[in-house]
Amino acid sequence: MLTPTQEDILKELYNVFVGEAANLLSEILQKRIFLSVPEIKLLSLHELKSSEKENLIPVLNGTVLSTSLKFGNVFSGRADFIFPAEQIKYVTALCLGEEYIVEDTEFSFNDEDFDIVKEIGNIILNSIMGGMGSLMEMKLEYDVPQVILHNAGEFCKALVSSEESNLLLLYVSFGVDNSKVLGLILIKFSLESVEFLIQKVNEISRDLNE
Amino acid sequence: MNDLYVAIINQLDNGIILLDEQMNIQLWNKWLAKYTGKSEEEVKGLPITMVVPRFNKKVYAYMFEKALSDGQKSFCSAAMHRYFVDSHCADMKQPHQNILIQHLQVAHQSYLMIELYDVANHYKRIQNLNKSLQSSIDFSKSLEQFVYYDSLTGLPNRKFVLDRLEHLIKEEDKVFSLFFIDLNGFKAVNDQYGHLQGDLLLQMFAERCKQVVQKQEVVARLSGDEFLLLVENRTSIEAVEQYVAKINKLLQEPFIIEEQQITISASIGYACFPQDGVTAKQLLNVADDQMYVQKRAKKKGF
Amino acid sequence: MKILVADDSMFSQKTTIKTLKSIYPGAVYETANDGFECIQVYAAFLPDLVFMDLLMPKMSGQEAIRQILERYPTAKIIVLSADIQLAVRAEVLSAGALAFINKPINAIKLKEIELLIEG
Repeated sequence: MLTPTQEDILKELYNVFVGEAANLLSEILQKRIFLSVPEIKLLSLHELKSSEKENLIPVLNGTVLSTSLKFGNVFSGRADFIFPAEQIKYVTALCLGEEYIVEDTEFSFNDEDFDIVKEIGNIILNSIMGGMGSLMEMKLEYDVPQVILHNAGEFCKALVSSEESNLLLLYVSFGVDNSKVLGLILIKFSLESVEFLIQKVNEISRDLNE
Repeated sequence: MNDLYVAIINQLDNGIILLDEQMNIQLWNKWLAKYTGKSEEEVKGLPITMVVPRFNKKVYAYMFEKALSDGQKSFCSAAMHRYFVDSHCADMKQPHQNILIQHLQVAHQSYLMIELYDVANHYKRIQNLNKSLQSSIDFSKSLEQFVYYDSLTGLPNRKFVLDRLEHLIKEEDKVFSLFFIDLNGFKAVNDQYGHLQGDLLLQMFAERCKQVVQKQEVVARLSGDEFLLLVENRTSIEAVEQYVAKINKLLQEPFIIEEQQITISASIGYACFPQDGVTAKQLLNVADDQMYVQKRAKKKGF
Repeated sequence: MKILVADDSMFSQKTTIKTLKSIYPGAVYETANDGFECIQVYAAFLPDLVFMDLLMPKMSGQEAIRQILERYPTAKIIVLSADIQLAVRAEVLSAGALAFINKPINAIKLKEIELLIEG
């Protein structure tokens, strides 16, 4: 759905937003964060076959924690930052400066885990929303994200069966101290909003080629 | 400010700080006064970083700025930041506080509002809850151990095997063999050396079984000196003979009891699913009968 | 004046060159799409100045800086990155980069380091 130029521009813009979030996170944790080259995809959910929907994002078929927020009025949608659940204990240990001990396969999460995910999600989504607001030259209204634990497959089901029809997938993996953690950013847009976004990207592209 | 609103803010069960655009404290609610021992009169008008030195860090300055310029809300967890304001209570050894920073605008006047939640007790409560949950999980595990395992040898018991058989029978395209093992001359050991030594022999035999048992195999103790070996996916004559040999080999080495070498043999009967029966009961009967036939033959042989 | 811009994003390459042209209208520009290509283009083009992204496929900017400076110790490299962590900045500056610019680039940020470039 995106031309290579559009994809390139969006990728670079989001790169800057994510970089800002990583910087803040590294100052809070006092640790170096290693970022990967992000990948970006814009999908139209209506055009996907049901089998494609199920395997859209393999990570989502497992248990995941999401931090989600709704944004905007005119330019509107929902943004999620997603963590595979099996990484949470590791991230918590990392944030608390504790040693990570591999536990049983059963997960038990506590408030500390949820709060950490909420804060990381807040930092990342703030950077993205802030960046997107200035890109669109409008003030996007949004709240502190909510943390939700989804059982295997639940999140994906809800994702593909919603009103907003366009999905911007942004994969970034980040590592701390040589360990890789995969985080996924999903932004769902209403149809008008995605047209708005693409229009903006095209404007940038035109300005550049003048 | 309206007295009623101020009264409400002072009744809240969390800390509220209001800053003006110059980062000076304009409001410091009762909760904070109690928590820190600093009254609102003492701190009003002072820069926040003077009263709460931890806010001197660059990250907080960034969050304050983003709140004022873009209306961004920032959540800081106790897990990552520990705490912000000092508690004047000596017994509060490890303060844990979450904060939420947000922007407020009233009639062209911008403010920053900081909500502060003391979560130390909360975290502690959840930790205790998790601990008690864990102990009840442990308890149910030990209950399961009690129901499904034999307390003398630690091997799965009759109930375990019956459940497993029922399960396998229901599954599609499943085949398996089971071997009924009865130790010959065990009664004589019991009579000669006493029950304690007899139990010891059963434990030693169970240990040998555990050493060699593989995936898709189960060795269980049914009762007394009766054991059962369940082997999934294999029913051919060759396989059956292999397993009979394997069991006999386990008994080759003598057991040492009261410094005496005792050699014991076994009578083994077997049944295969589905050819020898379609219920657990039928299969056990077939294997049991076969075992008896063998036992009698052995006795005659002696 | 010859300037090489290494960035995996075409958009970023173009933005950088466009911004640079406002200061160096007469310069000749070359581009590279990753760290590996940057080293090759450097050897052929021998630029006066390199603008280098860090997060690139095939070879990172950090590695390209190391290899270029090893062969051309007087190379002038300016890092242009979205990864603005202090540790990253310190790392590339100690590796021999001349300056570090936070993405996105603009004329004001360029002006600030202009003296450094000429010096």
